[in-house]
Amino acid sequence: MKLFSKKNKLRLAEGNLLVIVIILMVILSFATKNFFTVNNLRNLVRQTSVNGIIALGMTFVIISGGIDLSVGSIVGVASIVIAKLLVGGMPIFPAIIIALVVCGALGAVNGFIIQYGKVPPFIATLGMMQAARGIVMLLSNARMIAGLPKAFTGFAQLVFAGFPSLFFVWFLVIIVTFILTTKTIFGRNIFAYGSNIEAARLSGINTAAVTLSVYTLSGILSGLAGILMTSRLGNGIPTAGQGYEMDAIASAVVGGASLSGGSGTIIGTVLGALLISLIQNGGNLLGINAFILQIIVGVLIVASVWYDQIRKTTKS
Amino acid sequence: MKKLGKKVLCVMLLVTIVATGLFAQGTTETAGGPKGEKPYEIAVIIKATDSDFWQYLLVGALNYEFEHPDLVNVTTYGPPSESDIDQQVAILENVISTNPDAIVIASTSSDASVPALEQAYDKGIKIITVDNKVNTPKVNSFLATDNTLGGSLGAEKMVEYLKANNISTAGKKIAVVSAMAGVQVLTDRDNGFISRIKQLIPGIELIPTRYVDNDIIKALSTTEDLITTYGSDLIGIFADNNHSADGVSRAVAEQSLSNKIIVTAYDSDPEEVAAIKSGAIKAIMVQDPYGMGYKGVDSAVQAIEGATLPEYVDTGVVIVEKSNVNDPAAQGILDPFTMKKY
Repeated sequence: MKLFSKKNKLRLAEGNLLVIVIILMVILSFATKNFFTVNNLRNLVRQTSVNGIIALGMTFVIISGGIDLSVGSIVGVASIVIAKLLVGGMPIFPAIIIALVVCGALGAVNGFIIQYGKVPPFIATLGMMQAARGIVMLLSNARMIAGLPKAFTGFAQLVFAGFPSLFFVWFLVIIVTFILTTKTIFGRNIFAYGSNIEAARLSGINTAAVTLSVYTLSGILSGLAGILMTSRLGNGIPTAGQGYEMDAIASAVVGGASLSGGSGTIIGTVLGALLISLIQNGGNLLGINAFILQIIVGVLIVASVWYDQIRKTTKS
Repeated sequence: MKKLGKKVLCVMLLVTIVATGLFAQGTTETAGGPKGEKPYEIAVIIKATDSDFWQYLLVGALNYEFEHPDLVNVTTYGPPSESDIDQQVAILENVISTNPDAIVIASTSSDASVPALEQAYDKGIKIITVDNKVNTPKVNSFLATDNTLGGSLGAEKMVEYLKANNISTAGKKIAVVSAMAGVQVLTDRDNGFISRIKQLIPGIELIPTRYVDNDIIKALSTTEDLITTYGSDLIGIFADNNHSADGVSRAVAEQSLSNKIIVTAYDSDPEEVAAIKSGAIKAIMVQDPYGMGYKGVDSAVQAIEGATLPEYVDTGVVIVEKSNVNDPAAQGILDPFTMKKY
C-alpha cells in the first residue's frame, strides 16, 4: 500500500532521473577525454547554477498549480537594478537587498493579481514578463551598464574548497527549498493547494498566503540568479534572462513536476536542470551540431512527461 | 450587477468598433501620397529598441534633425526586439498610412517588409534601406556595412596578432562563435572570416560554428566548453557580434588565456571596449550605426529633392584595437552618445 503513495512514486521518478544523469556522465567520461576533469565539472556546475536557482523557484509555483513566465524578465530587472545601485556608489550588501526586494515585490504583484484578480497565472505572469522587461529597458535606456566594483564582480570568480562560489549559493538554495517543501507546514500547504484548491480552502489553508508566497519566492530567486549572473558578467545587461523561463520550466518538468499541480520535488528539479546542462555541455565537448542538440532537448522534455504519464496510469 | 457589467462591455466594444471604422476612414481619405513640403516628414524604423547599436543609429538620425530643423522632421519607430519581425512590419504599415515623405528602415527580414515597402514606393514615398538588404528593386538607396569584408578584416587582424604573440598555427584550430543562426549579416561576417582565414593559414582547422542565441552566458559556457575540449590546440576565436564577444572574452580572460587564444570580434559595447583595453579581445570591427542614421536621413532628403542616389553605399567598418582605443575618433565610433546634440 505504501509503495503506491504519492511520495514514493516521486522518489521513483527521481531515482530514474538520477540513473539517467549518471549513465550520461559515464558515457561522456569515456567518449571525451575532457569531460571528467575538475575544470569541466566546475564549469558544469557553474553553468547550471543560474538556471538551477530560477528552476527551484519555478518548482514552488508549479507545485501550487501555477506557472511563472516572468522569471526571465525579473532576472533582467535584478541585473539592471543592482548595476545601477552599485555604479551609483551604494555598498554591495544593501544593493543586493534592494534588488532582491524589488524582484520579490514584482513576484508578489504576480501573486496578488492571480489571487485577487482571479487572472490565470499564465496570463498574469505573461503580462509581468512584458512589463518587467519594459521597466528594464526604461531604466537602462536599453544600454549595458558598466563600471561595477571589482569586489562585486570578483565574487562569481571565487572558488572555495574546489567548488565555484555560484555552486555554493545554488547549494544553499537547494537546502533551504528542500527543507521548505519537505519539513514545513508551508510546504505541505503548497502541495495541498496544488492538488485541490477547494479541498485546501475547506481544510483551513490560507490560500491567499500560499499564492502570494510562491510567486514572491519565485521573484526573489530569479532576482538572486540575476545578481549572480551580473557578478559573473561584470555588467548590468538589459537583455539578461531572455527565454530563461523556458529552461526553468523544462528543468522542473523533466524533474517530475506536473503542470496540473500538486507534484514536484526539489531534488527532481536539480537533476532536471543538471540533465539539461549536461546535454549542452556534452554536446559541446563532443562537437555535436548545435541544432541537433536543440532537437534532443525538445524531445527530452516531451519524453520525460510522456514516460511519467505512462507510469502513473499503469500504477493506478 | 453582472448584467450591467456585460452591457458596459458591449457598449465599449461597439464604441471601439465604430471608432476603428472612423479612424480607418480617416486614413483612406488622406491616402493621396506624401506632401513634399518642408520640413520633410521622415520616418526612421529600426530593428529593435533593446540594443545600443540601434540606439546609436537613432542618435545619428536625430542629430541630423537637430542640425536641420527647417528641413526635416524625424520620427522614430521600432519593435522591442529583433525577433519581432511581424511587429516591425505592422509598424511599417502604420507609418505608411501616415504618408511620410520618406522612410529610412533597417528591415529585420529581407522579405517580410517587401509588400509594404513596394506599396509605399508606388505611393511616392522615398525608401532608404539601411543595414539589411531588402529583396525588391523598389528602394531609392541602400546603406550598409560590407559585412563579408568586415569578417575578412577580423581574420587578417587575428593572423597579425597570432604572429605578434609567436603562436604557431601548424595543426591548430580556430573557432567561430556566432550570436544566432540564419541571420544574413552574421552569416556574411562568419563566411568573410572563414574564407579569409583559410586563405591566410591554409592548413588551419575550423571548428564547426557554435550558436549562442545572442545570450552572453551561453557564449561564455560555450567558450569554456571549447577551451576544455580543444585545450592548447585552440588558438583563435572569432565572435560575430557584441554579445557573443562579451561571453567569449570573459571565458578567455577568466582562464588567463588572453595571449594564447587570440580573439577578434565584431561590434562594440562597453564590455568589449574593456576587453580591448585588458587584451582579452585584440581587435573589434566596429560599424558606424551613427553614420547609417545620419547619412540615411541625408539620403532621404536628397531623394525627396529628386536626386538619383547610388544603389549601394558602404558605410564602412573601423578597426579598434589597444593602440587606438583611446583616440577621440575611435571614441565617437565606440560611443555615439557622446556626439548627441539634441
